[in-house]
Amino acid sequence: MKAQTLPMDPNSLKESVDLLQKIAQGDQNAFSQFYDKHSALAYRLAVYTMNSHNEAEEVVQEVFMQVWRKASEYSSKKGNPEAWITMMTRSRSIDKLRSLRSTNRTKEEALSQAEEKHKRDGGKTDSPLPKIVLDSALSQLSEKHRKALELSYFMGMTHEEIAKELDSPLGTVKGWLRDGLRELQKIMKSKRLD
Amino acid sequence: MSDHQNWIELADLYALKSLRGEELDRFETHLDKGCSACEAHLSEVYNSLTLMPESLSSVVPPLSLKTQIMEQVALEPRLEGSSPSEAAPSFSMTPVYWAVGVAVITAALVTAVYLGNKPKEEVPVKKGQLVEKAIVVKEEPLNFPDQTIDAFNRTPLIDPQMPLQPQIRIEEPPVVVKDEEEDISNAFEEEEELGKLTSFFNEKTPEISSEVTHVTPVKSDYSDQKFEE
Repeated sequence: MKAQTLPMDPNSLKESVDLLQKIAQGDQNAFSQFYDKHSALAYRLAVYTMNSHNEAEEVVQEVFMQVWRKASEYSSKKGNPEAWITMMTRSRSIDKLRSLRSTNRTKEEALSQAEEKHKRDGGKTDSPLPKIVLDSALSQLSEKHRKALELSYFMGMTHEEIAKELDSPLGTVKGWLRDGLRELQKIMKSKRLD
Repeated sequence: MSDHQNWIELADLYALKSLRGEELDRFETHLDKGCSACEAHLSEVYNSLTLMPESLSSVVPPLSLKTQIMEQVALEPRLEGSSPSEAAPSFSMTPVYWAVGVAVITAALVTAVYLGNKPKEEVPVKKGQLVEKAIVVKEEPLNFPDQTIDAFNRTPLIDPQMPLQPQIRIEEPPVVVKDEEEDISNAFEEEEELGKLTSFFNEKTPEISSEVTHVTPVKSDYSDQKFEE
């Protein structure tokens, strides 16, 4: 199974921005196209973070309704449209995960509860869950950088929590996160040049 | 390490939503001041972070999810061109427009208050005029006694010598005179003089209350202005 690792090319970026402008004017057809273009990545991220298709559907629905309502508030300061969507998806997924964790002692208990709810709601229990692909950008990072970024990005841990989780000094963890980001930026730039 | 390098390092953690407390407040205050270098860096980091979910194996969202979302979108339609960037000019009134608007509203309010407090003129009523005004009363629903009184205070525009009969004829829509008589009488009781006039009216026009059940005013040369008030 391959990951889609192509960053947004200039034409695709312009198309997405144009669609957002039309969505801001209430164009439902543009919204439909925007959904087709960006929902898969958002859904993949939500499922991986929540470990639940059912919870992920709720998150993606919330995110795209936010797009419908707030398209006019999009700004390039928030990155490209794909970055904007994924950041919203990540934030909402983590919020939901923390909410589940607040009533359960561990993430495993929270996810177990989410899966039970998914089954009760008639969800497909055999739906595949996403995994990190071997030849992906993330797999190119050094082990420590990758691990620190995974805990931060997918699990929403603070650097203090990551330091505790990895049993490492706080300053070291901050360095791993920053270095991991620099590596990702390099990979992104190299992909643009390809 | 330069001072701004510290901000860039905080920006990295900010992009990951890993900042808390005093550090978060400090960096957001810095952003609020409009640091373009930090904004550009953040935008770059956000774009790079899309590589995180792109590193995951593909999972396709169910088709029912799109259907569900499109249904919800259809329930929240917006007017065309309602985006703030385009709609803003239409909502941003210049001071001149505001001044004109306020002046018009004020004038309307003053006029309304003046008319509402204007003392009712005492109009000498002759017998022939009374018949004409009583017919005006029958034209409208008489739910409020004031309407009857107002009708009586109108300036007579009809020839006092005009005969009674030509002013009455049967037409649709029907107006039941019998039911309205009671309302008219109640209104007239408020003033003794009006009560006397009512008696006079009833004596002189028995055919209205006993025989004619549908009454509409007949338009005269003056009636258009008078009855359309």
